[in-house]
Amino acid sequence: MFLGVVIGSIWGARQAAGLEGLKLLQVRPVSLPRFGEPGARDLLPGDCPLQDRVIVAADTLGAGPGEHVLVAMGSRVRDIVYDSRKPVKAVVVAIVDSARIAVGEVS
Amino acid sequence: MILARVVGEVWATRKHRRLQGYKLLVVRPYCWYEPAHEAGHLVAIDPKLDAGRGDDVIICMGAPPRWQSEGDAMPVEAAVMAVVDRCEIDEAAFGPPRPLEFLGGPPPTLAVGRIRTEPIAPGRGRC
Repeated sequence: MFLGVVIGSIWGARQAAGLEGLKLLQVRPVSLPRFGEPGARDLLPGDCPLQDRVIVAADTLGAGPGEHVLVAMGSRVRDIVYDSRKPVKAVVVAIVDSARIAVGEVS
Repeated sequence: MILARVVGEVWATRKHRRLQGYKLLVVRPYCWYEPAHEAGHLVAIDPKLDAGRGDDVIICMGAPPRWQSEGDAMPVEAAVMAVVDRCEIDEAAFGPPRPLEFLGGPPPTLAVGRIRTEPIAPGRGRC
């Protein structure tokens, strides 16, 4: 699982069988500072820069743009949240209320 | 399994029902192997070990974390399996990769590293 920010939704007029009715979100993972980086301090997820990559994740919880979410990857997660016939690999499993990341404290 | 340091904690109210009651930790792996993605961090569930920020932990990735919820399959891919008291690592293992002979590089030399016998000191982590 990783922390990411929802940056938007995706709709498709023509979809693979099984994708109908799924809500698809674009998620950008947050990028944490490295251990011991100068200026590291207690961070809120909003302080973390976002990575360039975008991951498309299916959502059952109703996350909206700008919200921080936890995304779990893999077909086994998909089997648990949906069923084995859904062609998805990344699933939003939690919407983050708050997080505190102490890169400075432990470096 | 991977060795990682806990750097933070996540709280969420709206989450998959099987995640209820589990602590969610943000960890920073010391080394990756086969990362499903390269986010540079992982969020792992902590079933009952109560690891906190600054602790070094063993993270198990893949299917085994899903066994922990007494039969209920959980939508997670990483879980804390142990909190590390003490760790000994051959420092040579952290050196730059040596070229392989058949790829045209010089023949590999036997690397004999000093074994660190003290626990990993805070701040010594390399990722």
